[in-house]
Amino acid sequence: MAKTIMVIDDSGSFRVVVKLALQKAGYAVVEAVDGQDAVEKLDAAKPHLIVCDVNMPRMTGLEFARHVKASATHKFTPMIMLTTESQEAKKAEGKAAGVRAWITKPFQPSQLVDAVSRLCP
Amino acid sequence: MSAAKLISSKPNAQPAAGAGARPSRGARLRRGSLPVLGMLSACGGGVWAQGTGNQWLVMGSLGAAALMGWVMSRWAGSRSISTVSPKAQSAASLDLPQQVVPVWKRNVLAAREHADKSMTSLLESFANVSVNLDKALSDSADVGLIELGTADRLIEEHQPEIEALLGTTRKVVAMKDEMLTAMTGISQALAQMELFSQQVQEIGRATNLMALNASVEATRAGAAGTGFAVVATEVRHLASQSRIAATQVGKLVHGLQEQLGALSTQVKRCDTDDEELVLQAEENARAVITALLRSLSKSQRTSRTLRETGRQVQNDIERIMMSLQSQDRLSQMLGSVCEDMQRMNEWFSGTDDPTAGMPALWLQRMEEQYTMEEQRSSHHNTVVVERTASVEFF
Repeated sequence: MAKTIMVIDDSGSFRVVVKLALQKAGYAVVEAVDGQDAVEKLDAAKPHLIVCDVNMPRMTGLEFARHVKASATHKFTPMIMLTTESQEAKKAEGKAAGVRAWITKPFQPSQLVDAVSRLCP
Repeated sequence: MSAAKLISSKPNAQPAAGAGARPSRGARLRRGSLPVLGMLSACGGGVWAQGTGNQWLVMGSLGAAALMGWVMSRWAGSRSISTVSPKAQSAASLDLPQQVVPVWKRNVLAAREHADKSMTSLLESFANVSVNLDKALSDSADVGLIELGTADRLIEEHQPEIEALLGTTRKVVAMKDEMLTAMTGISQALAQMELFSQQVQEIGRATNLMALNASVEATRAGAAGTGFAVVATEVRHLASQSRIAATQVGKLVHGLQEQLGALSTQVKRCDTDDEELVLQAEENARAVITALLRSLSKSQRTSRTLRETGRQVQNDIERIMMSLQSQDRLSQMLGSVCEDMQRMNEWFSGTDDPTAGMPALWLQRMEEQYTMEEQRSSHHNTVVVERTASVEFF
């Protein structure tokens, strides 16, 4: 059975690109439009891994990462930040929030799929 | 020349930060907001100038931003040399920026939303094409290549089917063999009959001779042999008839034997043994299979060409989709410009903003909101360093 990846990004076009790359690699994809939407869908989706943007309305990616790490159910779910944000301070914040990998946009699909398969073997 | 440069070339236009009481709205427009608005607009223009790939999608909104920069720079320039025309004074008194900036902002937001929707729709279409193409390529990949010796392998694999095809032929051959055996039997019987006919003819001849002798003896016996002479004559007559009949039977039997012999020769001419029949059947099957494989091979070549073309199209689609990632970056840049427009508008509307009178602080706040290197480079009007995508694991 295909592993489920949750893709969180407020950009619809970006979600399409990420979804296609992951589906081609054999993963099932659940989409969320921001951190808050992801929180609402998290329990039902039970993702094996989360790919998340940083700058989003309502709840940012880093806030969502902290929420996930505080959750008894999902705290071990690996998380990859996929963002235009490249500042070291933000990366450090992500690392402290339990994020496992940081990919700066624009990305290559092969890099994303490699990172996903590495963290979700 | 950008608005920022125009302003910086006229130091008299810079406000004295924190000096004295809160200036009037008109003074604030003259001393603070115009340079900031000019810089903001120049930044928008810079985004357009350094954008990658999708300029056309946001050209309207960024063009508006560039125009705003030009208008503001002209306005700021005219202010700085204290030659404010009555017309401009009138515009300022009508709170022109307060009315116009929200419209600019709405236009930029509308363009951003439109571009995002169009791009999402475009990407979804590309994604569908890509998925369908993947499926088609995956299905066509199941067809294997035809190798040398495939015909022989197929004949070996399908030997039972070829044997089944031979069944009818074998039955015909068996019937023919049975017929030949029967014909041989008939021929032998006819030969016997011919022999019997010859024997009957010989007996007839001997009987005739005996009857002739009997007639001679009857004549020699005189009157006493008269009756016997009649009998002898009748016997000779019968012997002659039987000899003629035997001769006719012999001729008929001979004729039948000749016809039967000719028929046997014809049948034997078509005689094929079982091994030769199998060889012929295999040869025919090989010819049929080879012809089929030739046709299949041709369609495979066509299929391979289609597959390769499909893969190229697939790669092109993926490249296009990846290059369209810039939509997200453009959206963020426009969002940043809109946020600053909002702040500007709020200040125009009377909301206190300590940075409004200090362009350096306003610009610093703008920079703090940026998320991308492109925005920072654009802000400082420096060259964007191309980054290679990388993954950083923690």
